[in-house]
Amino acid sequence: MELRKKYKRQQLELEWERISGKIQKQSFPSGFGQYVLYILGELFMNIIEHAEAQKIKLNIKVSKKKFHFSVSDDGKGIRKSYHKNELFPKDDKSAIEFALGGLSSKSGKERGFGFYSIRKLTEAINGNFSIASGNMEATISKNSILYRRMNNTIPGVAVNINSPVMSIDFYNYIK
Amino acid sequence: MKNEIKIRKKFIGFRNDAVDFKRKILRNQWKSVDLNFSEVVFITGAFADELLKIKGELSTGGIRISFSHLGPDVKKMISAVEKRKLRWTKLKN
Repeated sequence: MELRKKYKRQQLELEWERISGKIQKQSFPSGFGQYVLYILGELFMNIIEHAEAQKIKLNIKVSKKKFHFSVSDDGKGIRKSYHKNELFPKDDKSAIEFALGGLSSKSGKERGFGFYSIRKLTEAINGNFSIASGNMEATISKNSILYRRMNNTIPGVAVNINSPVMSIDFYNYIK
Repeated sequence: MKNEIKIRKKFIGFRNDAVDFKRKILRNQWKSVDLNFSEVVFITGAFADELLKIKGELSTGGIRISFSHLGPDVKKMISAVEKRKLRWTKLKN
């Protein structure tokens, strides 16, 4: 399965259902299909709820052994997403740390599990997960996080995931 | 007659979907309602989280929401998110 497409913000909800239907038809090891559906849903929802993006790029490529997923948007980025909830990360690195640690940018004192649980799930299957926003990129691999200041500042958020296609006790990692 | 909302989607991912159910329940002034998941294959954690939050909020106002015809993935996601919320509430307190 391969999908490389650009979307407008208004298309995302319907597209999520359409792409999810395609993913469901694939034959994956136990729990892996749920992992892919979960990533797609959580990241699309972040864009819809927080990003104020206009354009979104999505790339999914799955073979028998390898899974690649990337999504990027042209929205306001992670740091500014926290501002509406009166949280002010000092820089893009702090903002990414907040997101990976599970701090929500929604109103109310809730926890935001999107990036946090994607990180846990991807680590569980020995995958790599990178998230970039502003001038900072974090790469998570084998329980370590490497932060890198980029030469340029990107609009919005860019997420990249590469992992093997393998079975995962999906719901155990969501708890 | 029993009030029912039959969900007509195979995949539900967004918090707004749960908020739409809440609006419908309040608009109709229902005191109890069943959410029928028979056509639903998968829900995201975010949707489950919002749905459970709304269920809790409405129950304090005397409105009862029940879930029926849950498929295996939907059941597991709701259960996993319930456990996660419970754990997070304990941590906060």
